[in-house]
Amino acid sequence: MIKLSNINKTYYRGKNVIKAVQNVNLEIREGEIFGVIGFSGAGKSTLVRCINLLERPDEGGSVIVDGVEITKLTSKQLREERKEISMIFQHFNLMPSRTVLENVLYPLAYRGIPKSEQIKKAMSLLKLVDLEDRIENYPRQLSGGQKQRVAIARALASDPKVLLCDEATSALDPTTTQEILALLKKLNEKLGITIVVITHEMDVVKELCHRVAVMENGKVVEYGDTFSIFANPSCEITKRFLRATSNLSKIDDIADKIDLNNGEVLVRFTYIGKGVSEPVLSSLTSQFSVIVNIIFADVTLIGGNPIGGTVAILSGDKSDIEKALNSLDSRNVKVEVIRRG
Amino acid sequence: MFNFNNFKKAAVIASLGLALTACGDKDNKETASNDGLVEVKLGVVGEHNNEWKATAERLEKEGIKLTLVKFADYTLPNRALNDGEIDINSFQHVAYFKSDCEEHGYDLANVGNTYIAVMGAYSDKIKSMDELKDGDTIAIPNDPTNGGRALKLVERAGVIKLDPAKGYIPTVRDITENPKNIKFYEVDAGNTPSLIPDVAVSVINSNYAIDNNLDPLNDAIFSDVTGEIDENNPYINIVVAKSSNKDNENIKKVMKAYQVKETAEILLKEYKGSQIAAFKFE
Amino acid sequence: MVDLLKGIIPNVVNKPDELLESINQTFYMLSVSGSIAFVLGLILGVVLIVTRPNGILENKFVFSMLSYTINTFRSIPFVILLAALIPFSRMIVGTAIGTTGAMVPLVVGTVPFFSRQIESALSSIDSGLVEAAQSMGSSPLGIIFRVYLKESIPHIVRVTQITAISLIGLTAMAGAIGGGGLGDFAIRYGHQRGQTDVTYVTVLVILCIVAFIQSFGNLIIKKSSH
Repeated sequence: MIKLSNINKTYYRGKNVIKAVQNVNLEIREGEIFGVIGFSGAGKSTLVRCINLLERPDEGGSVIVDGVEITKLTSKQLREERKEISMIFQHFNLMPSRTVLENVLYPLAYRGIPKSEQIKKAMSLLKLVDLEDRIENYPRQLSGGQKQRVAIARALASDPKVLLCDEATSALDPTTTQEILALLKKLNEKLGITIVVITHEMDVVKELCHRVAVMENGKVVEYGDTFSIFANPSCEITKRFLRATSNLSKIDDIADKIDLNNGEVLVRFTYIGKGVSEPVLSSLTSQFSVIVNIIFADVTLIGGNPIGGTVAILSGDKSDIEKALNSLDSRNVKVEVIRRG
Repeated sequence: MFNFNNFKKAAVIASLGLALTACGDKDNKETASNDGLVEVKLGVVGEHNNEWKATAERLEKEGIKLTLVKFADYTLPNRALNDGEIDINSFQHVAYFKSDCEEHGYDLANVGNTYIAVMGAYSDKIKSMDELKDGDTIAIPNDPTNGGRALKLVERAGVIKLDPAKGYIPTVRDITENPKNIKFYEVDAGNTPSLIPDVAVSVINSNYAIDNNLDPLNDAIFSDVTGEIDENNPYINIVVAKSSNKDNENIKKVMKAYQVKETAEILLKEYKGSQIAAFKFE
Repeated sequence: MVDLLKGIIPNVVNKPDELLESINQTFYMLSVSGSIAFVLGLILGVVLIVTRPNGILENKFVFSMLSYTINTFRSIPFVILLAALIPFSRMIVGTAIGTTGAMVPLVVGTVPFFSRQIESALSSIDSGLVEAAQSMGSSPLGIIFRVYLKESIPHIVRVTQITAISLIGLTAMAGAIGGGGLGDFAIRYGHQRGQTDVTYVTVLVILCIVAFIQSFGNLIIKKSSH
């Protein structure tokens, strides 16, 4: 659906040359939810703006959306094309002097659509986002979550193929964030719309995205399907993001304080592959007579696959423990012995 | 150490001393100066005083040294005269003289005429005031003195009649007869020349006329100074002295030396006919 | 009643027709030059906003030329501008004298000020709104009308109030070229001829005009604020 090739964006401030985006190549598939994660200043906002050309990439960069080379369009053609690529923003950007209904009607005006049709469409969109009872309200009277829902309805008014979300939940509280993410997921499933999500929150990616690209200093350092990136991060920055959402690293702080009896082993198990559906830990007990005492676990599902891990104390026969640990290699579970008692 | 008390004492003595010397000078009008001439101080305003310089040369032969004292603006010379700092001054017309003395209570007297500055009517459309048509427009200055004078000029041209009770400072409201229904525009005096194209006639002070390359003698279609100058014309410029000094011999000599043909010629030449001698001469 | 007035404000009572004419002249000057200055100032203010650095129609040349011209005109004292524009006035409206002749200098004296006011009003629009409009495929003209102007209505009304009242002050100086008006009426009779009751009455009338402009504007602001 979207193909970004050789995207660079350089700014010149006086004598300073700032490379906001460097040599980015990405492909986003039709109907998927694609995340771009990075810290502030990583270049992700600039990158996403290259998709609808709110920022023009440097000479040589190519942006192809649904077969159309965006960078080669005339201004008029670009404006037409922008109806296919909608955007929602961190600070909503609703027109303050217009009601909810008027805001959603904005993109529908001046397109030769009769007013009654426009209103019908706007109302159906507002119904989709659950705000049909607020059509006469002004943005000032709405909560953050409601504002973002209006923004989503407005973005969908032109029946776009692509929806760009620039830090769409960064200004919302956790509960509201979940609501919006759920809404986006529903829209993706129902309408088949391709969604590009810019965020600095790993939870958003975890919850929503099929595939993700990790950005640092203007470059894409890692990209692939969410599960693999989570399970097997290769870059330091990815690991930093993951640590921010995971509890598993906490064990490192308390590892020394745990009492281990003679022969006991403190182990960290990390799920690294899909299809780990069998109750892995209880099978250690039944197959190898090893007692597994779980200290704590942090497991979530990404696309139906468990990700995360468990920290446990294994006790039993020494050889039994070794056999048990070895058996896990072939079952997509990474084993890390923290301490031996 | 710096003693403030001593400083104060010194300051008082110094100022007393200065005051005394000043007083001394005031009464010494008749004292002969170094070269045996009697000094007469004449207050003027502005830089154009060549006719007085010529007069001063003539007076030297009669034993009088005429010294010009220049003032920066019109409000100063009468006060200086009243305070005795100068002996005579020459810068104002009768109308201004009367109102200034009344306002400040000066005791001054007119000791002779010098010249009269002309006010003229100019037009780029007609050649005479008789050509004015019904509903034509005339631009006049919007301040009381010049505006009043302009209206009197228009009256003199026979176009309107003004309420005689208003004397020399009538306003547009005092027009009693306006058979040609002339509409008057009151504008800033300095703008009267530039607005000539927008009206039938514009009434302009001579100094503004000259500044805008107009010739008061040849370009004006009507002037309020023609032929014999009416003795009672309040726009005649005069020389003024303290009332107590009115009959001073030296002042009489100064006036006699001024009111001669040479002066009239200088006036005519220097001011391109905008200033006309208001005294009789051979 | 009339006798009471004759006692307090004799110099006004003896020329009511002139007072009335001055009021008419002021209204005429205000409404005509005000309307023209409003439209021109609005256009120039919009041009400033869209051509400035990072504006939606960024154009360094147009922006700096316009800025420079506006600054120059704003630096000219109005009394001088009045005299200097006499030939230009003649070209545009056919005369340089009277209320009609005052129109051109009044407009030229107000437009630079008002365009800066509009520029300031429009620059307070959140740039995010402009971005959102662009992302929805709005054209520059669409953004100008549907975002910049529509979303700034209260602010625009406020700066219009300020400019209108400043314009009243300018009309007072129109007397220098025979424009008349309330200010000139007060200057000629109140100031030059010492008829202070004329000054008081004139100030009162102008106060009423100012109060009206303020209230009317505030009403519009109230209606359009959400």
